[in-house]
Parts: sequence; structure tokens; C-alpha cells
Amino acid sequence: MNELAREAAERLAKGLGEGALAVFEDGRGVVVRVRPTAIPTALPLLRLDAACPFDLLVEETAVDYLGWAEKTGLQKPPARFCILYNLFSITRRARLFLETWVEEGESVPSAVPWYQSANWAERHIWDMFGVRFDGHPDLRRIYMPQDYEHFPLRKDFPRRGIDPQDDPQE
Amino acid sequence: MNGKPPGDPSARVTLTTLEEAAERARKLSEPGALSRFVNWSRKHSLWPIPFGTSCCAIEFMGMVSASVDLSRFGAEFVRFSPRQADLMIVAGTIVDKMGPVLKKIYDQMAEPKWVISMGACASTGGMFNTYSVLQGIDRLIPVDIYVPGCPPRPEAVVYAFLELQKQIAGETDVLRSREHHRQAWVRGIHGRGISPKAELLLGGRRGNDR
Repeated sequence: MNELAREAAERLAKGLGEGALAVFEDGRGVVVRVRPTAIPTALPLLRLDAACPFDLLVEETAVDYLGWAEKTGLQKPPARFCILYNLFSITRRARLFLETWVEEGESVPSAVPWYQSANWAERHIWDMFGVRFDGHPDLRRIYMPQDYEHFPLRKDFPRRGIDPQDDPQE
Repeated sequence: MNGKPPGDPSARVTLTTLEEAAERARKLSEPGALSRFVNWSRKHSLWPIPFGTSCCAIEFMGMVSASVDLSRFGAEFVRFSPRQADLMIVAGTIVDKMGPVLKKIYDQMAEPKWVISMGACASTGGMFNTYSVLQGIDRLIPVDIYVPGCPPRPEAVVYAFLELQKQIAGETDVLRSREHHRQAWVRGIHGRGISPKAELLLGGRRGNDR
């Protein structure tokens, strides 16, 4: 199974050229790290791959690596936020992870034109991490109130909130 | 059959003597007799509406179904319309976005109305001491009885229900609306005044989804 994903990853890296940064395997499986600008090319390439079409976006999520290197003593990550795409090929039973890194305030091209399931996932990422998605049809907050001003899953967000009104102890 | 009526003789209704009848009439003419009668009617015909948002609602189901059976105490009908209910049982975590909804449902209930806050989350926010959870529904609506537990056992809520019945039995001036209870609550629950968060929620800044 991994063989299929590895081959697909290499085809993708070749197709992207400059846009692909690395292909590697770790605990997750086969991972392709790409530039944010390469997302609109990478997703259709994977989706329409003849040998192994990744037709299902299982999930799209984000991780905030603020202070991660200092805390763990491990290698400094390329940027603050990692946007992770978990792709699966239903026909070929292969799984591939696509990741892209952005700093605070930068945006990522939306995956919705190729994967409908990215719609709510990207709204969730915007709601919780404040990463914008260009070309998203309806980028509203999904959990928090529309006029909420903060991004609760960021590492620098205190559990009890920032607004004095958020503070449970008031 | 030897001419005696069947059944336990002590359980049979005895004829009221004239003295007893006179005593009852005297009691009925005492001040407060109407209140007692109205309270007695109200406390035995509470119609609950569940506001179940999480696991406490599962215990609520246990409470109203056969094994515990809240209808033994007069709460026969669980109504799913606030217009037909006079006891709201808030069972579960209320997040900030849900707060205005809770308030709206509460406002739709006709007076007189009572609220039981079931479980730790509804009473205090429980273990969700976070930015998104209302730290107790008494920041938005007046609460008559708080039930501790996570979740409380159905028996605990039945006990709360019995306590509420006692509370209702003690109410004076029943013909007046219970609005004055709410006024007192707005003037300051626990003497703190209405909380800034409640003002924010009721002011419509939170919970507007469009």
C-alpha cells in the first residue's frame, strides 16, 4: 500500500518541480511537503492521478508549532502553522499526507474546488487557528460566534479566554 | 360473602362527621387558604420541559421513564414546547452560543415557571472552565434548585423535584405573577448584579450566527 503512495508522491514531486519541498516517510506514512502556492496544482494532480487517484480528502487540519522547538529541543519547524491534508485513494487503498507550512497572517489556497469535504474543515481551521483560505466559497467561523475576535486553538490563547467577558471567573 | 364490603376496612373512605366538615370549612376560610390550594394544585401538576444538551439528558430520560418515573409526582407530561411547560430542567453543558437560545426558550414559558439546574455543567460550568462555556445558567435565567453531580443520578433529580414541590407549597401571594422573583433576580443574583458576560450574551453580541 505504501508503495503505491510512495510512487504517487514521487510523481507529484516531479510534477510540481519547484513547488515540492520534500518527500519523506514518518509515523504518519508517506508525506509530501509542498509550498502553499503549489496547493492548487498538487491537489488536482493527486485527485486525477491515473495510477492511484486520491479521491477522498479524509481530513484537513492544522497544527500550531509556536514554541515547539524551544519546548522539545527538536529541530525548528519551517513555519508556525502546519496545514495537513490526509488523502486516501478508495480504489487503490493508499494513503498520502500533504503538508504545507505558513506563518501567522499568511493564507493558503482553498482545497474546496477539488474536495468538497474541505469546506467545513477549512472553516474550522480559520475559526480555531486564524489561517485564511483563498478562494473558499464561504469562509465564516464554524464554532465560535461570528464576531469573536480570537483564535482559540492557537498556543498563545489562554484556556479561559482573552476578553474579560470570556473569563469564567469574571 | 357475609354482607361485609370487600377490602381493608381501614382503607375505606369514612363518612365525614359534621364536626370534621365544620373544621375543614373553617380552614378554608382562613387567610392563605387560596394560596395553599393553588400551591397544592401547582406542585402536583408541574409539566417539565427538558433542555438537554449533553449526558445529563440521558439521566433525564432515565428519570422520566418507567424505572424511576417522575410522573408519580405529578410531572406526567414531558412537553417539548415551552408554551405548555412550567418547569424547565436544564440538563447539560450550555456554551456561550447556546446561552441566548436558552434564554429565549425560558422567556417563551408562561408564568408561573420554575427552573431546575441539573448537574455540574448547568450549575457552574462543571469541568469546562474554558472560554466557550457559560459558567452556570444562573448568569442568564433564575434557577430554583441546583442538582450537583456529573451526571446526577435520577434519584437526585427526583429529590430536587420534591424540594421544589416544598418550595412551591411555601409560596405566598400566588395570584401575583412570579415576575417579581425574576425582577429580584435581575437586581442581583447572589448580590453581584447581572454579570458582564450575561449582558454580552443577552445584548446579542454572542450567538448571532450570520
